[in-house]
Amino acid sequence: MATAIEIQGLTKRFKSPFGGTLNAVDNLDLNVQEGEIFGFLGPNGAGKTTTIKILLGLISPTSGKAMVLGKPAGDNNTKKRISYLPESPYFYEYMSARELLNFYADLFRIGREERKTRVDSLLERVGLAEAADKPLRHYSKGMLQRAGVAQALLNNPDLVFLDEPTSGLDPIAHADICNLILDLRAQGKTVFVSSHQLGDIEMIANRVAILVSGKLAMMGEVKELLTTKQVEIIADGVNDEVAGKIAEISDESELHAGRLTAYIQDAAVQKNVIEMLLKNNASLVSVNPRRRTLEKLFVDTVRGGR
Amino acid sequence: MVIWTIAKTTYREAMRKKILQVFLIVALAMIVLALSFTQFGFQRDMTIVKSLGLTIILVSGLIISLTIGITLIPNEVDRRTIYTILSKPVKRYEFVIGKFLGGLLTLSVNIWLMGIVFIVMLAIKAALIGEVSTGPAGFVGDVRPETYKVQIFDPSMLLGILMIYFQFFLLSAVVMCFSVFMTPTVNFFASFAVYLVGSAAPIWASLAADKEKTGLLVRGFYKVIHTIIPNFDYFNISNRLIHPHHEVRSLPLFVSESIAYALVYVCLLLIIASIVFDSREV
Repeated sequence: MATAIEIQGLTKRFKSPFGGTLNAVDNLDLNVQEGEIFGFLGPNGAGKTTTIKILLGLISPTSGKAMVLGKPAGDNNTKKRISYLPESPYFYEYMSARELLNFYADLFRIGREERKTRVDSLLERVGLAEAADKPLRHYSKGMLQRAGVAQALLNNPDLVFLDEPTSGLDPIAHADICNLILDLRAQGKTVFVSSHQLGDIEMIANRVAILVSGKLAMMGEVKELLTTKQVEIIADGVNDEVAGKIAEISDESELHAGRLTAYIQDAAVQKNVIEMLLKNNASLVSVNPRRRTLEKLFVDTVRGGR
Repeated sequence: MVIWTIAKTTYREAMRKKILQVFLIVALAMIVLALSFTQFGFQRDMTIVKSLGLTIILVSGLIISLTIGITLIPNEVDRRTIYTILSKPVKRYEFVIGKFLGGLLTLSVNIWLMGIVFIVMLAIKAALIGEVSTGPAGFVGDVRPETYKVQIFDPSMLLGILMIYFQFFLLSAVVMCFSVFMTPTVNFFASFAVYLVGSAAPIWASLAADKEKTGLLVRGFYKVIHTIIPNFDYFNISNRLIHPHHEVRSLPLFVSESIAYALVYVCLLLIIASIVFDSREV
């Protein structure tokens, strides 16, 4: 599979008015494969938007290499094949969604006939067909976000950059946008998503990278990152004494209202704990491989990275 | 095509600004009111009315070019609309020229709307009077008062408005050039200062040439100011139009030179703005 984005040793340093410097992005190495949904995560101020701006050619890096679809970031021909939805996008509010899409279609130099077909089908696809001729100032946040997504798909891009595409949306709009991103992957497009909605990313992304203070703290396949070697044992009707003994031999455990949850990696200990529970008349609820949530991984990584 | 798309959008947005609409209505009302001026004889009244009308258009043009121009690029950055535009295959110079043309279109519509209203109102006033007589009213001895028809359409006023328009065409380019690296407030004062200094160009020229009263360094300073700052006085021909007997040079030649001067200066300023904006991080 070809590489859609390749970043090597990327650094962006901002000078402060008082003479200091801030490394917004610090020696970042990253690659995104074609056809994948890549989650780009990090706390506020981690350098996510700065990286996206470099990839779009809006700002230039202090050092390092940033390649997009095989060309240096900012290449005008490459821009015909990519698109971008900024966080909380603002559009000319006197325009209707149809006028907005026609405006962006002109910027992409899409011909009149083709433009009409694309605009109509996109308005339908993002659920704005009925409100297409209403001025954007009368739109809700969710509708504006849908209009933003539509403008990002206007050129039938190979690579889409989405910055917080689901933030502040109601559950319906939220689900629609997630489904749309999955549709894009199904069509072979590459989607680079920066988001704080970790549940969404966990659900839709193939791979994620976590950025902390401009540095890459973690990158990998979502499945691999979230799967651990530990087993999660849950049992009801466990008394304090048994729970205490289990806590001593488990990697991690907690007792809440008689329900014990224990995490154990060692197979012999796992067997021992299960026997102990059964012997003490506890009712075994489940024994499963432990799977971390992306939120937990994110919090641990960010706290560990600071 | 991209430049025209950006220009159209800029124009449509600028024309929706409430402050511009209110200002235009006030200016038009002032032009109409100025025409009702009847204090002295017809000829003197017309001279005052023409002068007043052109001054109203001049001041309006100044305010419009400043208020529109200072926000053209900073607004796009603040509202982040620029991200969705420049992430598309739009070259930065196309964006700068598109924004400039959009602002210019707004200025043109406003100035020419005021200009047309002014010329039409002047024509109505002249038509209502029809003819004027010179000399004493009635017969005094054998002296008969001479009467002549009042000129209904005065083409010199059209020329006056054209020169005001080119003056602010040039100022708009100054404002655009500053707007790629200045905040709107700083740009407002900087552009206004350039306009004031540029309007006083003959003063700097005479100071730069005065070898008796000023030293070499000071003369050099005035020379630099006179050379760098656009000469807005080139476009100030209202007095020559209203008092044609004061004219000393061929008017068509003077007007052509002034327009060519504005075009060259505007091109230079747009090139500078595009180069600066190309390296700017947004």
